[in-house]
Amino acid sequence: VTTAATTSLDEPQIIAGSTAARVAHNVFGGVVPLLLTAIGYWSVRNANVDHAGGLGLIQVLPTVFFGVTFALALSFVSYLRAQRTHTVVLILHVVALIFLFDGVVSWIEEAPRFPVTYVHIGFIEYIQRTNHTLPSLDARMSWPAFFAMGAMLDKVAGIGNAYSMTLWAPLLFNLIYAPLVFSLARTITSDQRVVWLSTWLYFSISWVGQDYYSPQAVNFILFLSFMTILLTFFRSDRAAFPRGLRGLSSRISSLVQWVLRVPSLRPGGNGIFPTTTSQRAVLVVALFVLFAASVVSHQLTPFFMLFEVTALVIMRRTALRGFPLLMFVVVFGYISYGAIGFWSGHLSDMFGGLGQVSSVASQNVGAKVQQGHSNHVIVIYGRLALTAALWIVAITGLLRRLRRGLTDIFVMVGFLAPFLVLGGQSYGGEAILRVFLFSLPFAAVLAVLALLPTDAVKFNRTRAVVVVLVAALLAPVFMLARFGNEQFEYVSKDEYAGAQKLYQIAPVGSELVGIDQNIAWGIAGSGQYDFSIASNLEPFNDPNRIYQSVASHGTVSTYLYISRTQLENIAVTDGRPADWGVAFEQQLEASGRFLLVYQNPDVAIFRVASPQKAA
Amino acid sequence: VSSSLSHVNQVRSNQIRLRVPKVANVINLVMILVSLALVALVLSDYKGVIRQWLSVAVFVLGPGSGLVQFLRLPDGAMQVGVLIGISAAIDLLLAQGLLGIHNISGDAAACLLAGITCIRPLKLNAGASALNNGSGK
Repeated sequence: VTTAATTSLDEPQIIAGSTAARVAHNVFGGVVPLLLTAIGYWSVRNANVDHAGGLGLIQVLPTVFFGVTFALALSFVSYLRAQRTHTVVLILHVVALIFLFDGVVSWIEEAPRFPVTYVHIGFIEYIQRTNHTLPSLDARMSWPAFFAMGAMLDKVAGIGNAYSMTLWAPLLFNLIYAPLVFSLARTITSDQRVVWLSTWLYFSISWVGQDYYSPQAVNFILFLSFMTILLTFFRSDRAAFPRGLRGLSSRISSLVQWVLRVPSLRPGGNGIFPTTTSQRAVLVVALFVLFAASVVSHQLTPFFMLFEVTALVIMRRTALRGFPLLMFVVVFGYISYGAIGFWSGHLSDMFGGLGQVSSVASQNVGAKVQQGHSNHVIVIYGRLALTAALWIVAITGLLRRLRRGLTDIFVMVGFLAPFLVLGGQSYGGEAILRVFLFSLPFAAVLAVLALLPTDAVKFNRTRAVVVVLVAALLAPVFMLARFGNEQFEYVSKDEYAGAQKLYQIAPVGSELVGIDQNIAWGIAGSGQYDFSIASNLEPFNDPNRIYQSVASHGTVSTYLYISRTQLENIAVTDGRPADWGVAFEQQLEASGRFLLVYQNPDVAIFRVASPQKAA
Repeated sequence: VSSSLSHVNQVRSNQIRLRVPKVANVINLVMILVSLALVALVLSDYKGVIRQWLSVAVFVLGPGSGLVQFLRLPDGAMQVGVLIGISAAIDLLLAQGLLGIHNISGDAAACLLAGITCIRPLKLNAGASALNNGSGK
């Protein structure tokens, strides 16, 4: 075990040729990704996200951009195959990939994307203003640590709100994930080719877009750190099953050997590091701190951690057998006490989906496929195809390793344990996204192992060509899957300006009404205004009916807030014409019940007439 | 053969313990200076982009850079990744604590984060000597 650890982590690079040739090779190798990144960013200088249609960002990205991503993949594979390549050259290639795939959207767009980002800015603003949380406002406020951290950061940085922190957050988060994804892959295999390729694959395929300024983005850092420490130091490959299960375990092994015609089975994975007792104690404290921070800041991530550790314990693949109990007590202790504001009225939301896996899967997949515009459906199918393809290749990798007598049980556990969340609840139709995200670091390694199952398999020219072609194909598919909804997830500066104007116009205590959940307005005023989304607005061409839905409910005054992201989302999901919003606003104004008080290209704010006046 | 191989493995394992990369140590030294500079800017109520950049740097790298050295992680990438993870965890728990007492103060937060950043092992290889003495097997 220790030999494997030593050779894998400290193996010297094989140096070929003269020193000058080696230096030239590496200098050139470092310049290539920098140059390609610059060309990639230059190529999108005229890209206008306003022209993004139903397929999203891919429709405004020039061909040169995809040529750059192809060249980068080609360069990466070439340098990975060369024996004298310095690690820094490979790091620069991965960084360039992240800049091109995850940073370019921040470069093109003028304001932070994704309406939910603005909701988070609003939560942070509330805590910054009041030093309190507000569980009645939103479930997320019952896990307020991230928002409190945002408020703390704003105060330390001396800024008024979190807006300026959010634009480049996706790039920053992905740069942070990189060393952790790399380290996690290293616990799985000592083959450096697999480690680098799986890191590359991770960032080429991670389409779920949970890396905006959000609790889950920070919690994914905690999860990766947690799993890296757990699998590096507390993995156990030789722990025996309890006496009653030994026979069963032995029979399963024999069956696998017989089916796959493998003479013997041995555990895969990189070496387990020897540790001192005091070091182990400190490492357990670190695991606990990471878990505790997750418990107070996000609803779902602690359960992914809990499922991973519990599954490893059940499969006898970790030495921390009592840790799941501690985790269970902490997470349910917090929910019982800290999140009482949420669960006291929502027990059915929390536990109503227990055991209903097919129902949850249907909400996560089926309902999405059935809704909306044909282009939107293409995006959803693109996501499903990418996800299914990765999982199939990952399972192939697992089987190819088994054929060579290597059992990667802990990797299989890491890959499959996140699926247990589907047995809990649908998480607003997003559970499958999170399952994909949390299983991805393991799935990416297994997928690469399908190509290079052992050290003995050469990374020859044919395999290199396959990798480059897959990478070239992944670039447009990634852009389609990741940024396919840009039509309604993009937020313009005008929209942000409109939201700011709303709080200048509307007196405190007013009721603010939107027409769709996809709305970037909650940047301030939490606890001071009554926010709502009008329901029963159909038919949209009947202002009287709309008036009845949104008319003042005894508040100071009522304002109807209509913005581009709402109109686009309704157009896409209901299949309306792209310009339906213009006619809609004209009807509102013509009715005499809605007074236009502010307008810019992306926002219209109407003051709703009081009932007496309207009558 | 088995005996000599076992001996080689033991030596190598000790070499791993001795060769804890100093990436976190270097980051920590830089972050101590950065966090102290940030405290000065916060207490003097300086407003500007430098303070924003330093704040982000301290939040991302500061608290974990000292504490992660106690873990004696065996490679640089892991040190960088986990130190960021621990920094995030400390930031979250600290913010939760300040929220709990209903006083999220920028001054207090900057001072506390700088204080945690300055906590570091006095002797980086202290654990390795224990291993060499045989207590770490």
